[in-house]
Amino acid sequence: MRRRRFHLSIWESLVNRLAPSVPQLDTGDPITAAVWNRFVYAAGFHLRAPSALLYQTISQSVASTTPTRIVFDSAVRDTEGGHDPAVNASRYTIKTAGTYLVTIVAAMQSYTPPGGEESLAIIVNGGVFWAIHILPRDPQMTNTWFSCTAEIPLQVGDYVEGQLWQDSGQAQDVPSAFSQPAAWMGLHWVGV
Amino acid sequence: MSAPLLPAAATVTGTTVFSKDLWNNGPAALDQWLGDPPRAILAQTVAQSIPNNTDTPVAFDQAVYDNHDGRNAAGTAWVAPAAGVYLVAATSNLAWTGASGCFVGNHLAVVGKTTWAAVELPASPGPVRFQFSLAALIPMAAGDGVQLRIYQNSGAAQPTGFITSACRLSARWIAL
Repeated sequence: MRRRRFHLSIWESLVNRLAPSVPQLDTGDPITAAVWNRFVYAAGFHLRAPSALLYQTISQSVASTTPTRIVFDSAVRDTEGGHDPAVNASRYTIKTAGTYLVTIVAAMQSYTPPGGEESLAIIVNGGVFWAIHILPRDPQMTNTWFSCTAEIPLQVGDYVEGQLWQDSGQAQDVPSAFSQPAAWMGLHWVGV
Repeated sequence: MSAPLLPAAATVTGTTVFSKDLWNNGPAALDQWLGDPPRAILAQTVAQSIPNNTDTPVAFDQAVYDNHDGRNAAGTAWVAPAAGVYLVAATSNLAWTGASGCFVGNHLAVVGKTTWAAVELPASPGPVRFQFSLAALIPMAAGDGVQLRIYQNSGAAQPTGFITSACRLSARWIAL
């Protein structure tokens, strides 16, 4: 029997969406309202899957040799309410389990002396690195721009962050003086 | 495992009676495909020597998942089971003891065809390791193999590493 009961409360549909699952039917099974509605739900879910696009408008300092989470104070969208700019603003917390495409872009000022490293990473649950981009630190560049992309399987409650790191011996800023935000993080549910 | 076929829901006429096959091959199959298309995340857990001056495919010995067994026997390519556009992303890890004046590169490439994404940087001043993140949308035919390749010209072999993150490659069908 491949059919499964499907009860989706209004609360669940708004706060903690479930990944869709349209059942296969056996011979003689009717296409009931419940089965049809699961298809309707699935179509809506796939067209508007859990998604967020966060960005930073306030300059942030990155201390030397200190892993620093990027603080996102604003959001273009956040379909599931996974980001709270007032509490743990660096985090996007997963509300719907699945596999997510995560991208991060960030800039950081470059200072002397040359040598050493600077990096941007995508980190899950405070410690698991899913993507990282390390560059040789070169003060000939006023700012260094990085980007990272990863496809990440995530459970409800997992949280995703961006991390900057540098070893110049002094604090470097994520600058806010550009005509655009200096840090973005996008997440999109792409499958189970 | 046979190659998966993208669901194709049948068009019906005014007197067609809905059957289980219409449903199973239409809405149910389409939802299944959209939620779980051909996809893989591969990881490296064993260090690999990247020779000097050779664009070398990374050998992935572990599949975090690979729902159509697309990883080849050597782990050096993920073979697309169905035609389509794939989102491919990778992170590399190369320990570095080379001198200045060299460079390091990463490439996402389809075997025998095209390089779709690349990062190439001078290794000067050189950090203790290089890790790059790169991604691309890549059209592939069924049977095409995509690779993450590492290049370096330090004058000697350099090993892949595991600090923070090992080499990873993900691929996902996203459209025809």
